[in-house]
Amino acid sequence: MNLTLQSIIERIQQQDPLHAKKLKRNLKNLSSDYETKCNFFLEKYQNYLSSSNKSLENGVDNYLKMIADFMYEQLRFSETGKYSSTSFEEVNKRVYNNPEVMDYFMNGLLLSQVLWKHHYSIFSFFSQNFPKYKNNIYNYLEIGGGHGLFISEAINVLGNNTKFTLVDISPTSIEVSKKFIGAHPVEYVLSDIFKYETNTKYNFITMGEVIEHVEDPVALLNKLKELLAPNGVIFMTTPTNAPSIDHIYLFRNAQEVIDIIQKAGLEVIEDIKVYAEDLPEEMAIELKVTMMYGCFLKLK
Amino acid sequence: MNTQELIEKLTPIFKDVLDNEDIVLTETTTAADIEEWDSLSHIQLIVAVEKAFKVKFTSIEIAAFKNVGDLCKTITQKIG
Amino acid sequence: MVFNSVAFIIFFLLTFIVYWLIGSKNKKLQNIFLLFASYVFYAWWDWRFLSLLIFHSTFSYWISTRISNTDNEKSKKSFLTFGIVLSILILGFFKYYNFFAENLNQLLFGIGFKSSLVTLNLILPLGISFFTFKILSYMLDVYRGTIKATTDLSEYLLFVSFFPQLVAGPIERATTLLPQIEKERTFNYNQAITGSKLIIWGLFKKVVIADTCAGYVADIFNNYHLYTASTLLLGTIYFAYQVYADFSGYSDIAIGVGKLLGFELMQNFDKPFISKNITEFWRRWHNSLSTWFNDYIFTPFFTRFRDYGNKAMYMGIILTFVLSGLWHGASWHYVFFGVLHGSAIVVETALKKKRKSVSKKIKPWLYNNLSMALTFSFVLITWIYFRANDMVHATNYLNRLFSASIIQMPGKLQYLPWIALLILWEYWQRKSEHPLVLKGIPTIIRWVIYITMVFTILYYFGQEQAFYYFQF
Repeated sequence: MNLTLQSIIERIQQQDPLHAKKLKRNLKNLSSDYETKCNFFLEKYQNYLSSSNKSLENGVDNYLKMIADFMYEQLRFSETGKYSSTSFEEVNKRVYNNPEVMDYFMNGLLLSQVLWKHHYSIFSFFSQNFPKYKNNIYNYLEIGGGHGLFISEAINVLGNNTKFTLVDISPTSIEVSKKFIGAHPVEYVLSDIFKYETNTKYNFITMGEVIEHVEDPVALLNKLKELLAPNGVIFMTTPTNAPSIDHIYLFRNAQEVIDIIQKAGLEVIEDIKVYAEDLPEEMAIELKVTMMYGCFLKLK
Repeated sequence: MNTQELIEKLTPIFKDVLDNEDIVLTETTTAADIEEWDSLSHIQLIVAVEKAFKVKFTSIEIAAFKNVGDLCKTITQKIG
Repeated sequence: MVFNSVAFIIFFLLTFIVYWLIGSKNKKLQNIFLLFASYVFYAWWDWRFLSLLIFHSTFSYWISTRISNTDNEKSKKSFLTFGIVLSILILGFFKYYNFFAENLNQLLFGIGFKSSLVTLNLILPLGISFFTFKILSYMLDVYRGTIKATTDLSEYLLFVSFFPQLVAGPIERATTLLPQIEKERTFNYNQAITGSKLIIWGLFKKVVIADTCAGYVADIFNNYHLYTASTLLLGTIYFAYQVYADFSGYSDIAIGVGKLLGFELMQNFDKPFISKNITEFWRRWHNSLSTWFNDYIFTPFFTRFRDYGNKAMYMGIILTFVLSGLWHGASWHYVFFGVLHGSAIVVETALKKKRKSVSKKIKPWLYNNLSMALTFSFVLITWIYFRANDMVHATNYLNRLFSASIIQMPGKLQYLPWIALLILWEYWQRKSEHPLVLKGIPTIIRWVIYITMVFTILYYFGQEQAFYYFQF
């Protein structure tokens, strides 16, 4: 069975036509890069599905269940203006160490990387700019890889001369990543990043959507600094105004993220702000529209 | 010097600064009447006129010039 | 309240009724009522800054009176300087403090000095750039003798705060507005009709064209790295028409509202995209701002340094445009935008003779169309710096625009027909006073057009969406 984007959206349409309509509208008109990246993704996704003994229907079901969770959290956020969980312990129990939740959630998140324009946009920002930093990456670290898409892209670009390490707190995440990444050798470490000790200094660290899951973001960035080689680069993403079952730290706009970055002694090389709705920046901020912030960082 | 003589002396200056050989000046000519006469060339005209008549206008006088007639009056005042 | 909102409709209806009930015989009462209505209008946006508006207006009135009543040249100048400096400090503080602080910090850090100039969480008072400039122009006009200082405080306050122009211009001069405030206004049926038509046309541009384009532009600019270069090009065109429809739409509504109250306010836009050069563009685009900068910045500067010849002229142009860029926003990409346009005008001025001789050598229609295309392209490209979030964003957008995917089919074409409609309509009605004159069209057809237009506006009438220019 050859997976295509079309077949995935059709499957979604059968169960949630309104959502499918939105997806189709957003994904129209993208340049040919999208098609290329999509094919790259779908190939890996297909392997992932087979090695997990899942069918496309399962995958889509998981995705739609995740959407339902997001809707619920979004409603609570609109009412209270706050995220529903504020402690890491709470979230760890509720989500990360709960295989049932992690199962559908991780699968759903995986699909959203190519279905949601703002997720794809961040991934595209990464894949278009990552090659600029590819020289001299001997050691690559990914923290909270979740689904494994970004590290797969890095493997694609860097190849065999780099040692890849993936650290994640959730066993399910690691399983998902393993199946998505496939054959290439990667050191998988099951650990809380705060407790991760090593002598290696990493030339490139990717940390996608982790920082909003901790109580003390500056401490997390300081830990990254310890792991970073002198001219190393960090790629980080985090959403603002994004209620989710496991988001703890609320960033309300890009400036709040940048403040944290600067407090930790890091500086932004380049960044991007991707809004979930097509609105001018001032309006999006006023209406508290979710925004995905992505940036390349270096030591100040 | 009376106004007519002044206008005769001003015409070649205007023709030169505004790069237009067909200019005909009267006392009531304003910037609106000549396409090339805009805020940039206005001051260039002032510089040329000051040089030709060896006078110096104040900025208030310059701002007050509404037409060629005003310009002539102020020149006459200055050269006595 | 924004013009396209229920609140404004109610506000204006009430104002209109009471204003004409008071009647032209009670001009003074009418003026005071309009002043009161204008302050209500401003307070609705943000009541915290109403006191700033009143303070600044009253202060400038006092300054102008002192300038007018002193015969001593030195005294006049001192009062003027005091007035200008305080006005600029007020504007500068609210608008540019953070820009200044951040850049000073960076500069000092660069030379090894850790400065701790804190950036403040300041809110920009609405319309401050517009009414400050109105106030400055008045003080300068009184000083130069262009206008006599008014002795009626309420009339002056109304001149500054007249609600149609309060939050986004045009930056009207006292020489054209004060006399109208001082005179009786009688209700004129034809004037009212024209005013109403201008309001409909303005709303059409604002609600149907600008607001919907805004979404497309936001998507293309936010996600530029996802789209083809041809889509990015389309994005710049959408942005051009978004700003044009938004800003000129607002100006049309302002002028229309003015007419309904018996006032003739100045035009701000005159088919800007048919400009054959950038110099002409700034005469046709946001004319009230260009003439302000010309009369109060460029001309004094060049006059003062006129003996240095063309060097002074070129420097004056660049200075004027840097300031004009800065006026739009406290950010380097706005300054850069100004520098680009200033440079274009310097080049045009320097090559004036050459351009004239070229125009004589080739066919007029070819020369004109080529000039229009070049000018429009320059505007599109420089507006990338205007729309982008910062310099890096603009540069990245531009880089992607000039890439191979320019030959690929652009996406997001859905909104093009509306823009084509706007262009064709304005071209069709180019010889009329405004696009809804519709001379020679049979009455029934005219009414079909009006009604269709009103219903289209109502259909697109969404939530309150602020005008793009209000952040100035």
